Amino acid sequence: MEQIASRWMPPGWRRSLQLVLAAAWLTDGVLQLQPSMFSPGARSLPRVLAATAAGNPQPVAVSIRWAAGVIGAHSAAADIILALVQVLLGLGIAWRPSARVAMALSVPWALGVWWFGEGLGGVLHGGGAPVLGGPGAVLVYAVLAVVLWPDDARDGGPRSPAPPAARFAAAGALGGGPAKAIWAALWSAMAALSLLGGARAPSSISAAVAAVAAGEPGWLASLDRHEATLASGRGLVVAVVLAVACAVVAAGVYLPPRPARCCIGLGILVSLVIWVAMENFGMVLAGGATDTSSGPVLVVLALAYWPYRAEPAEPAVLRAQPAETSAELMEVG
Amino acid sequence: MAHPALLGDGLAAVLVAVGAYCVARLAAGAPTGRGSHDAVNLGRALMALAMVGVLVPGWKILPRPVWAVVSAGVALWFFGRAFQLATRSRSRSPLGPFGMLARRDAVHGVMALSMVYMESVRPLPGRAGAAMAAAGDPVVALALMVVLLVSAVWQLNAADQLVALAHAPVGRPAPPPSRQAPRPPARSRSRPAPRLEVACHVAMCVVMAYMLALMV
Repeated sequence: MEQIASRWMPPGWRRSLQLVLAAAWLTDGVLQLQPSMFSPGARSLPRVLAATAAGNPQPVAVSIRWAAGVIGAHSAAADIILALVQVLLGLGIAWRPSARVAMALSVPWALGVWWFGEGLGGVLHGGGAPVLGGPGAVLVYAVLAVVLWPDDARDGGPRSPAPPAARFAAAGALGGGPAKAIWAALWSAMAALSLLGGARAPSSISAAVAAVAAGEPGWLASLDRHEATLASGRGLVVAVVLAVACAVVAAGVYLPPRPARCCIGLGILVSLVIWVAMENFGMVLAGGATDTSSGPVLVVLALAYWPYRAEPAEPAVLRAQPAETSAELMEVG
Repeated sequence: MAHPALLGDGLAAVLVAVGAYCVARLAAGAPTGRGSHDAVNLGRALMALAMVGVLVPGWKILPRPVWAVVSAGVALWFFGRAFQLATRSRSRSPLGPFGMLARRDAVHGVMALSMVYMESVRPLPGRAGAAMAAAGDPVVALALMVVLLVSAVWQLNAADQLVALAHAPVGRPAPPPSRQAPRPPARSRSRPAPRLEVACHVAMCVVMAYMLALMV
């Protein structure tokens, strides 16, 4: 009984973030099966893929058009397979015995989707600014799989009962230095992308907002109209402010815990503002979206870098329930 | 709704399998003495039947209003049970086993609520396979979808621990050694195939989430 009771452990912080990643893959897989994906309209899968080729360098554009052509030849079957893979990745990450394999497979899959499905997030043709959806949500999925790589010592797995000290969840298998470098590289790239290409044009924000307003519920379309009015002619100001904010967030992980929390909190705020104001919740409410866009996954990434408060390890991971709880549980369950 | 018939038929087959398995568990295991456990099997079987009727309109055995009322009853029962368990677990960790059971019943309540939603909203005219209505609020459909998918992920993560608990002997822990008296060995009243039970829950959640995604 003691042994059974000691096995009852709620997931630790790192494992909880892995489960959010699993839920994100699962959600994407389910959204991939929406009716618009199977219809011949502008939101059909082959057309969505082919549209991402525009503006990319010739070799990249050719490869994307080739993939769109292959998928277009067997559109329904390809869409079901793509959805099934994503559902399996989500379920695989959620089931502890297969978590490592699923997370490992999710990295090349995410990079493949980033290339063929998102046109490399537009980073090669100046369309990869965060306000325009860059550098692409699925790239963050790959980053999450790397920094949240399963680590029994910290995830409450059976191999190591005593988790070693760690300042934040992402410092698990990689270690603190490489994990911080990944964070800094991602947010520095976002800062640079904010200032490149068409994102700093005076009407870039209002045009982008107008582009995503179609098909949204009334309250969200109304919000978009107000945003477009407010941002009209202020593209450069918004781009500079966003670039500075991203640079601060990038440097934040190298600061002591208290200021680091402020910087990471700023990263969460920026992610959510872009997600709501610019991405319209990933346009899932309009139908036809295949993911929830970058906002939620950037928040998950930020939480993976949130410094632990007092205990470096995760005390909840090893907290077992009293033995009698298991017995009572069997009576009621 | 323009989803391929093959997809709808395939998912309906999965639901038929889940429903049949739940009925078999009820038949083989009755009476288990665990009201909640039996209700979960009964609730799943009913919901699987209703979901098959939504996915494959030709297989709808009851009118939509009847299914909506049945699902509402199931939802009420599970929410009541979840409230009862949550009250009982108030003094313990919300992440502990009692909290988990309360969440399990609450999730079954959400599943039944999703069925009420799917059976209640008005079908959009002119859409093929109009059984999948699309006139509802996308926010509601998405919220229900997220709850179900998070539940599937959470349940799958806890699968191994649930297996261990399912095979735990039933009985109070031994008293302190000084007062220990001879007592009968703990009964082993294991729950059959707990992994399959988790698989059924995950399948129900994913298929129902898919059906809700069609309504966005």
